Amino acid sequence: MRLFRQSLVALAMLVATAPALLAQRRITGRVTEEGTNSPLGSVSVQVTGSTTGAYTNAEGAFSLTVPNGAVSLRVRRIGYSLRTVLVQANQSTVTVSLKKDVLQLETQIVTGQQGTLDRRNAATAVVQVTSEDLNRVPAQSLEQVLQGKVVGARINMNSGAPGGGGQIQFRGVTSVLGNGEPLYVIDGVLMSNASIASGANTLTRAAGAAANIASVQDNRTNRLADLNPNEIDDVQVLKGAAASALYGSRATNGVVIITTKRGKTGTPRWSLTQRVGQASLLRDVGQRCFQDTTTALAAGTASSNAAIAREVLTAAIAANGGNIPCNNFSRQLFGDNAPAYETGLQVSGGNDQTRYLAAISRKYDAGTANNTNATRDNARINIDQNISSRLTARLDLAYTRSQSNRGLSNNGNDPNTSPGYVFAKTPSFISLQNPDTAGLYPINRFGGVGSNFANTSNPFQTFEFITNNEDVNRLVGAASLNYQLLATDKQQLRVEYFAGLDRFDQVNNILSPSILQFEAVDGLPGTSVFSNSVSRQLNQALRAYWTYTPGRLGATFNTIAGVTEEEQGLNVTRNRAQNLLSGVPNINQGQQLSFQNRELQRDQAWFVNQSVLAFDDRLYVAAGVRGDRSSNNGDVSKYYVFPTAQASYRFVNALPGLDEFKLRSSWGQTGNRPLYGQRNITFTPVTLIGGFNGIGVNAGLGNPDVAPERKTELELGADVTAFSRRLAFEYTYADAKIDDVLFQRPIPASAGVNSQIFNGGRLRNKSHEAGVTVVPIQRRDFTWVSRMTYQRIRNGVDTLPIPPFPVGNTGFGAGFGRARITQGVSTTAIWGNKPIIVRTAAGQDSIFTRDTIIGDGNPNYELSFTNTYTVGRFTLNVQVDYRNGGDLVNLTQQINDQFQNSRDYDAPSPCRGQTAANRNCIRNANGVITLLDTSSTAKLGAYRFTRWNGGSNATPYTQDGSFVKLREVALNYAVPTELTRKLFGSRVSDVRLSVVGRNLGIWSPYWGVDPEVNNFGNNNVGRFIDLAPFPPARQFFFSVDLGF
Amino acid sequence: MTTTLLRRFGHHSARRIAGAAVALAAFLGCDADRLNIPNFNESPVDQTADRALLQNAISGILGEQRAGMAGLVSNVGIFGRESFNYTSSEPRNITLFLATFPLDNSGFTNGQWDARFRNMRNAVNVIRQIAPATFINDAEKNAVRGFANTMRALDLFYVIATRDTLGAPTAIDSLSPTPQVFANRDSVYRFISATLDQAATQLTSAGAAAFPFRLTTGFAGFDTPATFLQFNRALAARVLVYRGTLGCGATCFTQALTAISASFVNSAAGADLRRGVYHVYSAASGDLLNGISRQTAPDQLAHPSIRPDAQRQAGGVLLDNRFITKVRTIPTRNAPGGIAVGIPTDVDFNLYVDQTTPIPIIRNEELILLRAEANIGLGNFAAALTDINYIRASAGSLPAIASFASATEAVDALLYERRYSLLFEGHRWFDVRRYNRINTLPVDIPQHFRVRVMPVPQAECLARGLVIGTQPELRAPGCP
Repeated sequence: MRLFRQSLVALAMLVATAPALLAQRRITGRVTEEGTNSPLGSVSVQVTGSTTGAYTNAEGAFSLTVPNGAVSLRVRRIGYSLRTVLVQANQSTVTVSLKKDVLQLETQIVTGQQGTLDRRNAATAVVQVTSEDLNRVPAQSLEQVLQGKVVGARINMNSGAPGGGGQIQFRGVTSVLGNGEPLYVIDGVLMSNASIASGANTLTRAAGAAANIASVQDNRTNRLADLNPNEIDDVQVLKGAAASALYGSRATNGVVIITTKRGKTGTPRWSLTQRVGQASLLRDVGQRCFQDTTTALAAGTASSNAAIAREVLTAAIAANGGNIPCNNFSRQLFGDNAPAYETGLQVSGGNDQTRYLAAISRKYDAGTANNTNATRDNARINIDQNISSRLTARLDLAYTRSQSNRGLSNNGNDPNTSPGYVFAKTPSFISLQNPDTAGLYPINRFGGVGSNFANTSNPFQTFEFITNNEDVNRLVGAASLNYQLLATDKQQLRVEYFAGLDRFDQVNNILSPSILQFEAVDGLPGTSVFSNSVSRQLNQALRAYWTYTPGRLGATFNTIAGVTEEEQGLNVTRNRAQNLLSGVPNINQGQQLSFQNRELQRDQAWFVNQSVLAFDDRLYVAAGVRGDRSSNNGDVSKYYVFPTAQASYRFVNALPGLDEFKLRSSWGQTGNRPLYGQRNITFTPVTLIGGFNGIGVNAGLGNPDVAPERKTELELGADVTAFSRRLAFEYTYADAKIDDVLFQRPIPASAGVNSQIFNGGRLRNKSHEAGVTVVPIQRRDFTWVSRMTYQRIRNGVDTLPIPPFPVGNTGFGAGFGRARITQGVSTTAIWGNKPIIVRTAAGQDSIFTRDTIIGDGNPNYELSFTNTYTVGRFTLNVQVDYRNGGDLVNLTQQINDQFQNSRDYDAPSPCRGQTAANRNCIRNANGVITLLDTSSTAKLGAYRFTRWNGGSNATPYTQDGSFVKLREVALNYAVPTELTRKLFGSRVSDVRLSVVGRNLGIWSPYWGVDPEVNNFGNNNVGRFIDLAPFPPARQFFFSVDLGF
Repeated sequence: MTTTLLRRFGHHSARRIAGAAVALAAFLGCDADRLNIPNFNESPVDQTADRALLQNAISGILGEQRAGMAGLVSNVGIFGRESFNYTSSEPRNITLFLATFPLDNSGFTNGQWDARFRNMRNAVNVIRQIAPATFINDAEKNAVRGFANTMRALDLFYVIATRDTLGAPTAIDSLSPTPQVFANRDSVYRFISATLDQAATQLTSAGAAAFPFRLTTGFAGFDTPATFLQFNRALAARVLVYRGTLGCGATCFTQALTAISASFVNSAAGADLRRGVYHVYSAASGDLLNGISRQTAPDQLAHPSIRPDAQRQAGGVLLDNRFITKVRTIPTRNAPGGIAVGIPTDVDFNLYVDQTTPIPIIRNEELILLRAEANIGLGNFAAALTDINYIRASAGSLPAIASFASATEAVDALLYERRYSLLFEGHRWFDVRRYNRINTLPVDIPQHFRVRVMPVPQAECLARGLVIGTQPELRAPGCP
């Protein structure tokens, strides 16, 4: 609070010294679209070299108070080319027409800490996703919308469960053990994107025994899911270190700057959006259909015993008219046609003093499985207030309630409860789906433990009766005061005080009633987990913006300086009770276990940035520096300094047909502070024993010298616009070195500790990003805009001061494949066991098993194609993404094969008729080369599983994840005004109808449901484990947008 | 310079720009104390500042040692062909233990290492930290030292028993985590004996003082320095007998008999064979359940050879009473789905029936058999026969053996009794190896193999690999 008081005092001092106002006059005008002459609303009209400006109303009209004498006006609107018009001293009205900017070259971009710059001058690669792109097709969460729209990013949704859960990574892996999430800033508020586990591990036991209430395998949602894309005006991404340097020691992973919509001067404008849609299963895992009783019995025996398999099979055949039934469990469970709807109402308007925007919305998505759904309610009010001609204020308040019911999914252990896991162990001849007339579900007799094999689950029963509810209440607020200290024709100086708050509580409630089949296994029937997490983030800043236009060389100097303090607190408590009284979900009942984790982190920083725009806006040069200190660093009083330098030059009309050619280069450094607690040497709780808490040595030693990781990145690029703006091309190369990487230094465990965190080594990432936009057809009645982006990212470990080590939560050991950090090798390489055959001098072949590279989770390259066709009042937008490469570890298939239930199990083995000369048809049997089944009846599933050989060959299940996805299709019709008037009356100004779809199709050789799923959720390195995920859905919507 | 600036901008402007700069600078004045945030989730370094913290440290030692117990019994059980772990979701409990040669040193089969050494460090820490303490007197400090040294010796025993000829480091530097050289097997065992003897001296000099902390109910009857000393001597006897069979011979066997007589051995008629020291479990919040109980680990099955190898009671119908009470018949189970290297079995254990059933550390039945073993080693077959027949009658309801014709015959008898008396308590694998009888363990299918030692963990090898360039003496045996 001391900081807050200091800044207010300072601000008050500045206000007291304000100068008198200058002599003024008034001008009015109108802005229209070139060609159609239709009026353009929401156009910004600004007096060049000042902060004076206004917006046009719906009729395209504006009015402005300007200084006496001639002034030049900058007239701009997103989607149109910027124009500068001169208004003579004696002129009081002006008409301006704007040309459509289909290439989006004219927008403004953020250059860090809220400075802005025209995009055409930017010295770094800019990614900007506009409101229109964000809202064309509804999505579960913001990252899903951004898929394919941000060149240089890897974005994937971890599962298809309703409510979100995705992750974004820019330009490769930038940290191994530290934080790997980008920094999210919404209207200046540093926003939490925490992924807090639900506690489902209690039921799935994914991370082992019951002692773990929660785990990273709980199919977590990250809290980006709380944002409503409809409230967002634009999303900008600062990928490189130069662009994000002014965000200091939290910016290594990139910064995502989200700006919400704001009110504009004029009468209230309402917009109502109503969408109705449906989700359905995109792909399913399927199930093996048994052709004969021998194979059915063999499969049944593999997950039970022969007697039970025979008993169940006999009954199943009898009930099915003499044929072996075949149940496709995953389609039965996840195959619902799930309704979805979204309703949103926004109003904005204002006068010279006050502008406002208010929005309210509800979105509901049912999951494709029984009792799964997500509901999000958003409300927002953004207010801008002119307090005096020099003092303006801004106040934003947004409330979100996100609720979801996500069922169970992902990895599991005994007793198996995750459906994909259970289905892999259950032969398709048993019917599990339908309860009997008394409402009792069939007992699953397969995949269980213990002597009667009944200790497993029936997922249909589980999904019918289980609760896995998440309820998030979130408040995001921002306030700022902006004071114009100086406004002369040569210089302007303003200061801003900003304060932001992001607070949410997340309540997770898991109730597994005692009637469920698996609940009796541990002798403690009935499980309830209640978790309450409270996150609170505060940030405040004092910033000064100084613009100086000396009047020579067309130069403008911009200086931004500021200081900030940021605080993040997170307190997670979980309580679990087992052995519940029947019908009593309260955790006061039964046998309890509780857990708490509390974190508090605070940073302080200063920064200054100086830029010059000269030679008729052709040359742009900037340099800046930020000093950061953090409670997470070993030395909390030391400022770590991160500099940046950037330059660009535009060649205008240098060659015929070449409108503009820009060269840009930038260099910068950013940091990634250590994680909470890494600086502390502590003792750790061991266990409760004999009624007392035991504490002991912490196996991982803290380090009082721990410091931020540091990324140094050089970025080079060129932007071209040609053929009267019918073609735009941009290319960027970035080379990043991450030094002082946080690693665990191994200590021989016989010393009593086994590791210590320290800074060392270097990661090296290189990326190529390119984009081409062409306008093959641009006529009044038909426009076709086509855009293609390409990205190729390579991330590697340059120097590693410690031995290679497997990264936690990236897999299940060498037998299955997991990430292993090794010097000189890709960070995302998948390492696992592989047989190596060596021919000795005597001509004898011998076989070894080696832990080596068997794949890479990082794609070779990715392409995204977007085509927009506008024919009259119809617009069709299609986005198709292609990924080349990117391997997965397909453990879903592995367990299906192990229990002889994979859908293609009976397909012919590629080893039929082969010999040992075919190295894919052998396995290592204790050092002896042994031939797999090469008979004419050998089966594919058995081939994969025996080749895997108990884990001595992980290659059969490390598979290519290349795909083509039809991500978005949107057909939009703008109803003619005459028809609108006839239907809705004159109050309604525009009506649009759309039919849209997301994830409509996937074409991939990959066996699993989706190559973009990940068992471990948000994770720096391991994003390639497919293990019994909630399968993704395709979604269709019909929507109506009304403006009035 | 200043005047030039003023002329260019005008005094007015310059003052405001300076004002803004001052305001920004004021922010920077805020002190870094706000950044001194403690770690809320962990305990501070000062471990034994008062009795409550000392209790936490002692409970930590007990807890850390208990944490490895279920794994020890399970691992030694598989290697000694007493048990299987047929968990359906983890085939590596079968493949890596029985059919992957050599043993994987990167997981599953490399246990009984990290946590054991961590606990030795806990013990050393407590001994160092109580030295200047003022809240307990010297007698109580000796009691603490005697306890900590006994537990340290026991942890090291589990390490060397699983690593055998590989040896192990013995020293622990509690101030800095310095890697230590490996000592050979015999040195390690000597170090354990010496540590136990030192602990015995400390416990004795604690006199009649009570422990300044509470132990678990598993130590009932052994929870004062004087009675804990009997537990210490029991462990000493076990170590001495092991050493006797590993080359030390008569010297150690003789010392073992002395230690046994100072322990809680009791072979009077009707004596409680189960009396001893146990690790106890609880379902209380934050406590641990028995990880090999029938409820927590229903897939811990018994090796089928247990039935045919059991001797019959008089009359030739009933099997060894220990088989009847400790083993039960179940419907035949095979290794879960598709694991070709498992074998079917139709027996599991009746031992840890409840999820809080205690696991013995050492008990009277073992002490009687240790006495028999020491006597065999010393050639006192008659004395040995008395103890063996006592166990056969009281535990197995088996007919007495008339006499031992040879040392081999005596060892045969001893190993049979140890196998069934100490079934699934973590002994058989050590026993057959001590007598070079690993080859008597069955190899059920050709893919199976017999394990001699558990490997030094890969992580230990790699961490040592960082320093052995300059300190080659730090190389660990068995590391590539």
